[in-house]
Amino acid sequence: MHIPDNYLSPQTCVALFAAATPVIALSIKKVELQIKEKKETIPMIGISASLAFIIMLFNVPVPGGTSAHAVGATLLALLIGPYAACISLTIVLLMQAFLFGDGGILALGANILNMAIIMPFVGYYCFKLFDHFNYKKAGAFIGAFVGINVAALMAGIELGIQPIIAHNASNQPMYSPYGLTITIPAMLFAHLAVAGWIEAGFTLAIYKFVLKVAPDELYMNQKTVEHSEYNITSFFKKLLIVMIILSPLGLLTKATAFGEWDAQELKSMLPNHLVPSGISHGFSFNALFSDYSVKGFSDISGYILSALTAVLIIFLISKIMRNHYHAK
Amino acid sequence: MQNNELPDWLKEPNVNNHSQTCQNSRLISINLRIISFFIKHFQNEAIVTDNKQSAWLKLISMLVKLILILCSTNIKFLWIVIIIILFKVCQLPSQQVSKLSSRFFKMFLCSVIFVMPNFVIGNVQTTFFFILRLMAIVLDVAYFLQINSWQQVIVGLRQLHCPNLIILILDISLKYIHTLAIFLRESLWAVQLRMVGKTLNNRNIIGKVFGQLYLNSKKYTNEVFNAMLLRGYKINPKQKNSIKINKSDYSLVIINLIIIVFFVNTSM
Repeated sequence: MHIPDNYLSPQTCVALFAAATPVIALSIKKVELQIKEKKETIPMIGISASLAFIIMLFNVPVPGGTSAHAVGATLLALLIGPYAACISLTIVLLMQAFLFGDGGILALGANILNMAIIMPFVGYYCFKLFDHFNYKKAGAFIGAFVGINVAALMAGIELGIQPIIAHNASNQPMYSPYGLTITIPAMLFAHLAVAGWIEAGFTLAIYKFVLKVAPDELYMNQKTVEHSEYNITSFFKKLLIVMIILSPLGLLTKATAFGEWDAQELKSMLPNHLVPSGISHGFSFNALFSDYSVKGFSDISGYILSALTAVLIIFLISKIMRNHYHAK
Repeated sequence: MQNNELPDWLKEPNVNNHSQTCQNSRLISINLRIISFFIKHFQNEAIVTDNKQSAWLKLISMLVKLILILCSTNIKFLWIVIIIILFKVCQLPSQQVSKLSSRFFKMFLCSVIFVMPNFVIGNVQTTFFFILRLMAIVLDVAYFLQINSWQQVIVGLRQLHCPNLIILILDISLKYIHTLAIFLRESLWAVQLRMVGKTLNNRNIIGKVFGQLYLNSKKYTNEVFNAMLLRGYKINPKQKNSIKINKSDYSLVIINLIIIVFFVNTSM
């Protein structure tokens, strides 16, 4: 679901940046209040961000020749709240764009809106609806499923409207070449059929575990449940280590996700082999660890080292944040 | 009969002298701020870590890493080294991490200026490699400075049998820098207090202050040194700091061996 550069017109990019910015600003304010109430939020933000990053490394093949990946946004919302989840995912998306070249830099606004804003909030409020009727686990499952699919729908709409709003004099699309009739079914199919179930299953599994051993660590229970003795942070650290080691499983599928092709791949897929001008002559950024690897490294070791680098950087950021708020 | 006219000396315009006094006062204030910041930095150097590794080994480890980073032409090696250093940084308490990151950014920004002209030569790839290498070097040095006080560095140098004269000069210089900085600050305060209403030539102030500083500190440090000798400070201490390896050192040795193996592997 990471929209690369040059698939969205500049107007779309600016509009989506403008839409995402106030939500991020509000989330920062809300998270500051949350941290004042509970300082443990800061390490949990770091751990959650690391978890989301590694979850996104696991690509799964989708019928049709593409791939998809889970995000973990609803899980984060259930653990640390939707606002903190928004901040965590924003940090992850920034790192992915600048360090690993996953997702465009100009398209950051769109990716943040889809994966850091829509997904956690939709998933969380879906869960809350079910929680109202005391169906917590069903709520977690369905919330995660609905959240990722709503985000995928949004991404499909953003890609699909490009031929309508950005085309040249001869009606050739300048950016994403596929219309709504293709992008929406393609995105939704991948996520309804595969990625959504993985997201929901993963969310439910972790949610059930945390609900059983440390219910006070869940965002909704923090004021009502007594403090449990189980160290949930240590559990998540071990989980992160296991997931870093298993991250090369995401390489099993070589297919690129829908809408994430580079210019060469797109050229081979289009019937007239004519790449839209916005994509062929658009903004180009070579990330340091592009595609989660470095020249000379095998894909497997590159993936593991990328995951390790990202987790270490996120941990350092959370330590600096912790010191900053402790000093306050 | 009283003369109601103002005396002549009051009629003279004194604008230049007033602005001169303000300039002098500003000069002293700026320097006072710099000295105070410097002294505060020295006083905050208390490092609290549970690092039980031997000082000599930490020094050698840093030097080995620096040499290998400088000799490396392979980005894979640099990435591995950066990950190893980041992993060690993550183990520090959050307060140390904040200080280290602040130190890292300052050192990196100052150093990267010297790499920038390489862009003009035209080789962008090499420049990015230089920047990455510089990042690794600065990170390693910043980490070393964060976990080691200067006393530990002196102990490490003694354990490695560095010439005593060099260690003595380094040791005394570090001790005296702080003492002289405090003395200089007090001198500047005294100058500032005495400057009220007076006009002084600012070119002479610096000469006068530093001249006075040298003369007074020469006398002062002689007395301090004699006091140090009376309290048992030894110019040529017996080598009590012999090289020992404890359990914590083995992890550092293994990490360094891994780095050396990676270097050899990536160089081939």
